[in-house]
Amino acid sequence: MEYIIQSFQTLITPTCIGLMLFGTAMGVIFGAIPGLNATIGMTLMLPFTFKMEPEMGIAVLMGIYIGGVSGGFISATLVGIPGTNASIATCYDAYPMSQRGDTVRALGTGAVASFIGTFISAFFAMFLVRYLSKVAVMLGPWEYFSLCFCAIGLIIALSEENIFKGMASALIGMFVATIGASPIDASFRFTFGSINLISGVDLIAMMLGIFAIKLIAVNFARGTQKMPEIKKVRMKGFGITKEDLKGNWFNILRSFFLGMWIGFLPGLGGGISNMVAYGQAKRASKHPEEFGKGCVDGVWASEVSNNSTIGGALIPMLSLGVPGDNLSALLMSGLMVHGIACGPLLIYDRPALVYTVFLGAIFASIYTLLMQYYGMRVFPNLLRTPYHYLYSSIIFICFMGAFSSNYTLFNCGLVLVFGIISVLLTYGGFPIAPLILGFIVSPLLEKNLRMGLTYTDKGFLPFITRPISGAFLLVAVVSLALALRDRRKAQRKARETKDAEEMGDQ
Amino acid sequence: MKKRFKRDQLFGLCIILLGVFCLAVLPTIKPVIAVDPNDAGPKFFPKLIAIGLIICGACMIIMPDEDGVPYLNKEQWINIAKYFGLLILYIGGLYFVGFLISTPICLFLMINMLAEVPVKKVIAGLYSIVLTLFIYLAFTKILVIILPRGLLFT
Repeated sequence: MEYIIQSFQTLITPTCIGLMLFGTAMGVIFGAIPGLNATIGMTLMLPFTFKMEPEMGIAVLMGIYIGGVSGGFISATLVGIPGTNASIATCYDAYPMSQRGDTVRALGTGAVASFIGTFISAFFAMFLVRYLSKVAVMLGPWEYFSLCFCAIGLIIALSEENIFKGMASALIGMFVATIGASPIDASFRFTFGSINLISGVDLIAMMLGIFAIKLIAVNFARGTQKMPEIKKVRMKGFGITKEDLKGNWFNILRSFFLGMWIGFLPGLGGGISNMVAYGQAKRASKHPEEFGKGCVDGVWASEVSNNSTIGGALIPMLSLGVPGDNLSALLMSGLMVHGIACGPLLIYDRPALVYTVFLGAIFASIYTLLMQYYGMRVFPNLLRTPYHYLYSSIIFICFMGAFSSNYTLFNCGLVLVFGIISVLLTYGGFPIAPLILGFIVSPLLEKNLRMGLTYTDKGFLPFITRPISGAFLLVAVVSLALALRDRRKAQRKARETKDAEEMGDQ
Repeated sequence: MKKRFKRDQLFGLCIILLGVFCLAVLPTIKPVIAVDPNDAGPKFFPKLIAIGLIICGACMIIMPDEDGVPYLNKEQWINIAKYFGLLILYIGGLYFVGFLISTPICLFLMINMLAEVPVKKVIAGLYSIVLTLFIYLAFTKILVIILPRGLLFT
């Protein structure tokens, strides 16, 4: 309890409140503008936290994280384009609501649902993390290796693209991570005598290239920088009626637990939880025909679930050191920059910092709610920002952010190289999420694989025979096998359709 | 003319080449210390990755997906090339003349390039100078990070 109070005291200092408000505002802006997202916001803002105290840095990052995930519903409501993939299902009903003049209710529901999801899930997670850490310290290198393998396996299996491309993407990420000094014995690999590569490929430079530089390149090439007309919003209250809350309490509860569970599982995230919760809400509804036409139940389901995913994702990230998705992977690397190594010992070594993460999420959810309420008049103007100014500014801040990571122009070159690689991989249909997860998890995989082999004379056998390790491997293999089966089915179907079309032409 | 290869097959070949490159470089890795006789060593994990890459590449060649809708057309690829070309120039500029000279110039060019309709040159120019100064002051004064000064000025 004393650590919770200690973290609380840190978070209520004026500097911390000011920094968190700034971080949350940046997160909401990045989440709200279609084409940008919390991942880009966090990558871009990470270098600015380098000089801060770890607690302050964490607080800012949590602000961006929470603000970014929550902010996605704003453009989904106002222009029908989800700010992030976690708000895709929100579009289905929030935009029709907005079009028929129910904008305040749609925005209010989104804001309150986001708050409920984040606040309660972070609160739960704060107490659950200690229990999972207790279990996690009992795990050996075999279980850790299998867990990381399982996380990568799941993210490959769940990526919509070709499974071999998902695997190749993860392997490319792992290959990039092997550049530099190896774990355990610090042998230099793939450095080719370059001093710049000895400490490995810089994560910040890689992320900036893969996300920001590539996104702007593709949007510019396709000419998709125009924004539809946006109506002005006059906000008076949240527009939520008692009936809304009364009729949706079970929907909120179900979506909350669904979101939190999905966030907890490795490889899944808000992008999936909002769709699952929306589907469940529609299936359980007494009036499913209203979904997609401006039904407030859909907004509740989508926004509560995608935000409760945050609390769920924080538990394995902090207690096991295994991130579930891009955003938590980035948050984890942001914590690493501040000298915080996520894992089972973190809660024992630096408990105050762990609670700063959770309390930071709780505080950020409150700031986000206030910002969304008072900022509603500003958001339509924000969405009208000319993209050529916005994108140009982001590009140059990206380069300087990468430069400030280790003070070399080599990093700026890396941003460019990874921007080009990212464009080419997207052209080839390779999913990006496995690449990022592969890069982050690779050192952990290698270290635990080598340690597992060293600890016994039985070689690879303990990886399979130890029950938890074996179970993780089994889950990964079964998921990959099922994804492969689905792919073959889809290929067969596509071939049959093509043959039928050719027959028809003849 | 009928296309000889599908996109997946070309990418599969690139993935195989990456795997082969990785295997070819492995003998140059010199283990620093012998940790334990059971330890797999620093070459083992990259070798697994290389083998995995070769298998994935081969599967992509053998079982390719249909090409489907083109990702970008020729004109859009030219835009991509222009965009990256300008960024390469910018890094060159950072190296030779430093941040304060190369940034406003490249920022101005970038704004004009990204704009779908012609922008007012004065506004774009002013914006470029103001943003450059803002970034410069934020990094040097608040974050105490010295930005590139350029080879010509150091």
